[in-house]
Amino acid sequence: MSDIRTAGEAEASALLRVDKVDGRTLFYRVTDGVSVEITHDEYDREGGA
Amino acid sequence: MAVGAKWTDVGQAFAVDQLDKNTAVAAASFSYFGAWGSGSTTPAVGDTALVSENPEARTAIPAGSMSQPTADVVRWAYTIVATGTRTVQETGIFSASTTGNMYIRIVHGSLALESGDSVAYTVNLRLKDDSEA
Repeated sequence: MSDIRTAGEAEASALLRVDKVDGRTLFYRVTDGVSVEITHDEYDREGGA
Repeated sequence: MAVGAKWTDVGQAFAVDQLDKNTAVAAASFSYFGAWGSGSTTPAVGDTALVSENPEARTAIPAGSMSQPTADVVRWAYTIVATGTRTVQETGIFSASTTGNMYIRIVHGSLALESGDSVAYTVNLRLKDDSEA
Protein backbone atom coordinates (compact mmCIF):
# COMPACT_ATOMS: atom_id res chain seq x y z
CA MET A 1 0.00 0.00 0.00
CA SER A 2 1.37 3.36 -0.93
CA ASP A 3 1.41 6.31 1.41
CA ILE A 4 -1.18 8.82 0.20
CA ARG A 5 1.29 11.60 0.98
CA THR A 6 3.46 10.42 -1.92
CA ALA A 7 0.59 11.26 -4.29
CA GLY A 8 -0.43 14.58 -2.82
CA GLU A 9 0.75 17.46 -0.73
CA ALA A 10 -0.38 20.62 0.98
CA GLU A 11 0.82 24.11 0.20
CA ALA A 12 0.36 26.93 2.69
CA SER A 13 0.80 30.53 1.57
CA ALA A 14 -0.24 34.03 2.60
CA LEU A 15 -0.89 37.53 1.39
CA LEU A 16 -0.21 40.47 3.70
CA ARG A 17 -1.61 43.98 3.58
CA VAL A 18 0.22 46.32 5.95
CA ASP A 19 -1.60 49.58 6.72
CA LYS A 20 0.66 52.14 8.38
CA VAL A 21 -0.60 55.03 10.48
CA ASP A 22 1.49 57.36 8.32
CA GLY A 23 -0.78 56.50 5.38
CA ARG A 24 1.45 54.03 3.56
CA THR A 25 0.14 50.61 2.55
CA LEU A 26 2.44 47.71 1.68
CA PHE A 27 1.60 44.34 0.15
CA TYR A 28 3.49 41.05 0.39
CA ARG A 29 3.18 37.48 -0.84
CA VAL A 30 4.62 34.63 1.26
CA THR A 31 5.11 31.13 -0.07
CA ASP A 32 7.39 28.40 1.19
CA GLY A 33 10.82 29.99 1.08
CA VAL A 34 9.84 33.32 -0.48
CA SER A 35 8.48 36.58 0.97
CA VAL A 36 8.27 39.38 -1.58
CA GLU A 37 6.66 42.79 -1.82
CA ILE A 38 3.97 42.92 -4.49
CA THR A 39 1.82 45.63 -6.05
CA HIS A 40 -1.70 46.52 -4.97
CA ASP A 41 -2.96 45.15 -8.29
CA GLU A 42 -1.23 41.80 -7.72
CA TYR A 43 -2.65 41.65 -4.20
CA ASP A 44 -6.18 42.27 -5.47
CA ARG A 45 -5.76 39.81 -8.33
CA GLU A 46 -4.68 37.08 -5.90
CA GLY A 47 -7.68 37.66 -3.65
CA GLY A 48 -6.18 39.43 -0.68
CA ALA A 49 -8.73 40.32 1.97
CA MET B 1 16.08 32.87 9.39
CA ALA B 2 14.08 31.65 6.48
CA VAL B 3 10.62 32.65 5.47
CA GLY B 4 8.00 30.08 4.70
CA ALA B 5 4.59 28.67 5.42
CA LYS B 6 3.88 25.29 6.99
CA TRP B 7 0.74 23.28 7.69
CA THR B 8 1.81 21.77 10.96
CA ASP B 9 1.56 18.17 12.07
CA VAL B 10 -1.12 19.27 14.54
CA GLY B 11 -3.06 20.89 11.70
CA GLN B 12 -2.78 17.75 9.60
CA ALA B 13 -3.99 15.63 12.51
CA PHE B 14 -6.99 17.93 12.94
CA ALA B 15 -7.87 17.57 9.25
CA VAL B 16 -7.71 13.79 9.49
CA ASP B 17 -9.95 13.87 12.56
CA GLN B 18 -12.45 16.00 10.63
CA LEU B 19 -12.57 13.37 7.86
CA ASP B 20 -13.23 10.59 10.37
CA LYS B 21 -16.88 10.20 11.40
CA ASN B 22 -15.70 8.92 14.75
CA THR B 23 -13.81 12.09 15.62
CA ALA B 24 -15.20 14.92 13.47
CA VAL B 25 -16.76 17.82 15.34
CA ALA B 26 -19.41 20.27 14.14
CA ALA B 27 -18.35 23.68 12.91
CA ALA B 28 -19.91 25.32 15.95
CA SER B 29 -17.66 23.24 18.18
CA PHE B 30 -14.30 24.55 17.06
CA SER B 31 -12.77 27.96 16.46
CA TYR B 32 -9.89 29.66 14.70
CA PHE B 33 -7.79 32.58 15.90
CA GLY B 34 -4.98 34.49 14.20
CA ALA B 35 -1.90 35.53 16.16
CA TRP B 36 1.38 37.24 15.33
CA GLY B 37 4.86 37.41 16.78
CA SER B 38 8.45 38.47 16.31
CA GLY B 39 10.10 35.07 15.94
CA SER B 40 12.10 34.33 12.81
CA THR B 41 12.91 30.65 13.20
CA THR B 42 12.27 28.77 9.97
CA PRO B 43 8.78 27.24 10.15
CA ALA B 44 8.62 23.46 10.46
CA VAL B 45 5.77 20.96 10.52
CA GLY B 46 6.62 20.06 14.10
CA ASP B 47 6.05 23.62 15.37
CA THR B 48 3.38 23.86 18.07
CA ALA B 49 3.52 27.58 18.90
CA LEU B 50 4.87 30.86 17.63
CA VAL B 51 8.46 31.42 18.66
CA SER B 52 7.76 34.79 20.29
CA GLU B 53 4.10 35.78 20.27
CA ASN B 54 3.36 39.50 20.56
CA PRO B 55 1.02 40.74 23.32
CA GLU B 56 -1.97 41.71 21.17
CA ALA B 57 -5.07 39.58 21.67
CA ARG B 58 -5.54 36.92 19.03
CA THR B 59 -8.12 37.77 16.37
CA ALA B 60 -11.13 35.45 16.13
CA ILE B 61 -11.73 34.13 12.62
CA PRO B 62 -15.47 33.49 12.21
CA ALA B 63 -17.01 31.48 9.40
CA GLY B 64 -17.66 34.70 7.51
CA SER B 65 -13.91 35.34 7.33
CA MET B 66 -13.26 32.00 5.69
CA SER B 67 -13.76 31.01 2.06
CA GLN B 68 -12.77 28.57 -0.65
CA PRO B 69 -11.43 30.63 -3.59
CA THR B 70 -11.08 27.34 -5.47
CA ALA B 71 -12.34 23.89 -4.56
CA ASP B 72 -8.96 22.75 -3.24
CA VAL B 73 -8.12 25.86 -1.20
CA VAL B 74 -9.34 26.93 2.23
CA ARG B 75 -8.72 30.57 3.14
CA TRP B 76 -8.60 32.35 6.50
CA ALA B 77 -8.64 36.17 6.68
CA TYR B 78 -7.85 38.18 9.80
CA THR B 79 -6.38 41.52 10.83
CA ILE B 80 -4.26 42.35 13.86
CA VAL B 81 -3.60 45.93 15.03
CA ALA B 82 -0.40 46.86 16.87
CA THR B 83 -1.02 48.35 20.32
CA GLY B 84 2.60 49.47 20.62
CA THR B 85 5.84 49.49 18.69
CA ARG B 86 6.24 45.96 17.37
CA THR B 87 8.48 43.79 15.26
CA VAL B 88 6.30 41.31 13.39
CA GLN B 89 7.77 38.43 11.47
CA GLU B 90 5.53 35.41 12.08
CA THR B 91 1.86 34.56 12.21
CA GLY B 92 -0.10 31.48 13.14
CA ILE B 93 -3.63 30.12 13.08
CA PHE B 94 -4.71 28.61 16.39
CA SER B 95 -7.66 26.71 17.84
CA ALA B 96 -8.11 29.02 20.84
CA SER B 97 -7.66 32.60 22.02
CA THR B 98 -4.83 31.49 24.29
CA THR B 99 -2.51 28.49 24.02
CA GLY B 100 -4.48 25.94 21.92
CA ASN B 101 -3.27 24.06 18.86
CA MET B 102 -1.39 25.82 16.06
CA TYR B 103 -2.52 24.59 12.64
CA ILE B 104 -0.36 26.80 10.39
CA ARG B 105 2.79 28.86 11.04
CA ILE B 106 4.14 31.42 8.59
CA VAL B 107 7.37 33.42 8.78
CA HIS B 108 7.47 36.53 6.58
CA GLY B 109 9.77 39.48 6.01
CA SER B 110 10.33 41.54 9.15
CA LEU B 111 7.88 44.42 9.67
CA ALA B 112 8.67 47.36 11.95
CA LEU B 113 5.27 48.57 13.14
CA GLU B 114 4.13 51.53 15.18
CA SER B 115 1.09 51.60 17.43
CA GLY B 116 -1.99 51.66 15.22
CA ASP B 117 -0.34 49.95 12.26
CA SER B 118 -2.16 46.81 11.16
CA VAL B 119 -1.58 43.69 9.12
CA ALA B 120 -4.39 42.03 7.20
CA TYR B 121 -3.44 38.39 6.67
CA THR B 122 -4.96 36.21 3.95
CA VAL B 123 -3.76 32.65 4.54
CA ASN B 124 -4.37 29.92 1.98
CA LEU B 125 -4.03 26.18 2.42
CA ARG B 126 -4.15 24.24 -0.82
CA LEU B 127 -4.38 20.46 -1.07
CA LYS B 128 -3.10 19.15 -4.36
CA ASP B 129 -2.08 15.95 -6.07
CA ASP B 130 1.17 15.26 -7.86
CA SER B 131 -0.28 16.23 -11.25
CA GLU B 132 -0.76 19.82 -10.11
CA ALA B 133 1.89 22.53 -10.00
